[in-house]
Amino acid sequence: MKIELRTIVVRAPGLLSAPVDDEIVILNPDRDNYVGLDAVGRTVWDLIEQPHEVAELCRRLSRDFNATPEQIAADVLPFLAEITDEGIAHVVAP
Amino acid sequence: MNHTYRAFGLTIQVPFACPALTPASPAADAADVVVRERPVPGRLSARRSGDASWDAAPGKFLLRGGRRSGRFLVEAGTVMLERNRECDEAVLARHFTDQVLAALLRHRGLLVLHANAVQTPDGVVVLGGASGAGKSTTLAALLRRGCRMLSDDVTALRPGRAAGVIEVVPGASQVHLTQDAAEGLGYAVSPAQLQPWRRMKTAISARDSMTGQAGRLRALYVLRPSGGEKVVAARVAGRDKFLALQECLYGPMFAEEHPALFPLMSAVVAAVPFYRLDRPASRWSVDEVAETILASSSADRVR
Repeated sequence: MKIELRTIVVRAPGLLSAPVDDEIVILNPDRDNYVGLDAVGRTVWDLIEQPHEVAELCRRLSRDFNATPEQIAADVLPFLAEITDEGIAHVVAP
Repeated sequence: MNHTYRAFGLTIQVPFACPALTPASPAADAADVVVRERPVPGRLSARRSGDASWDAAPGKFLLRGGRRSGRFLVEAGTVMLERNRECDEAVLARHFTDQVLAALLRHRGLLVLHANAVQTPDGVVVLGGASGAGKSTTLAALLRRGCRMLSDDVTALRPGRAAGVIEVVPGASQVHLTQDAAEGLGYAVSPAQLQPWRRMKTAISARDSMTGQAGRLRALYVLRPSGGEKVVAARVAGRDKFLALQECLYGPMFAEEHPALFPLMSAVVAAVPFYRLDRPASRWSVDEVAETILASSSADRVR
């Protein structure tokens, strides 16, 4: 899935999750698999409980993690592509 | 004739004797489960998993025990039995305590593991791992060090009354050891005790070592033989704890059953540390394994 700065993403519905150590672990019942997200991934996960534009996510994270939006985007875009491929997040638009 | 037992937190009434279970008073304890003799089909029509001797589907388990046993059907938390003509009650009892009870416990919402459980001075330790990993040998070594037994082969977990507490309930009072392991630990084994159906393992009564009370889970160890020379315990974290727990589940877990079990699995994962414990495959190391577990459990208790 191609994710760009203007893409809007949101968590997939019907997932189960649990905090474990420093991670959050998500069970996707449709695929019967577990996905583990570290502290940064968990922050993104919390934000996309509601639909968010990727550019806005990057601006929020750049403030939290003291990095430029461009630096954040370099990590967040592949991360969002990965979790949409895993079926635990959806692209809403465009 | 009916017999009443207490096992895995349940009072169970069965129409044959089960020497590995703890007798209970039928007058004092109303049965949670009654095994009833009824016609049982030879196959599950909705079979999703199984082999020559058993079928499973979500919420159903059928065991075909063979000529000297019978067919057991576990469905909706109940158990039905149809004996075969040449049925031997000792074989029925073994099938019931080994496989049928595990399916029943799963259907009643417990987290059932292919694992052993032992009460150490620092709480209950669960020992998981594939067949041949050394679970029962380690359990027997811990019993020799004064620990108390909760279960061998089938271990059941349930939420405790207090938040964040997981309990392990006492099960059958037998340890199944290979002849080498039994002799290595100092148990005298006669050839008549060896069980061909369990890869020549011997069933050693552990009734004197059993604890009758559920205990608080303190740690879970997944044992595995390794090519190394040392016993090494490595802590497991995050998603890998779920994967380790899944490895230990008894029997198949169907995808549609997973969400219902997830809260209890999450509670177990959050409540206690998990370790992968590698032991040298090339030499007898059970004493080091037992000492590592006791030392590690003690250190976890202090943290």
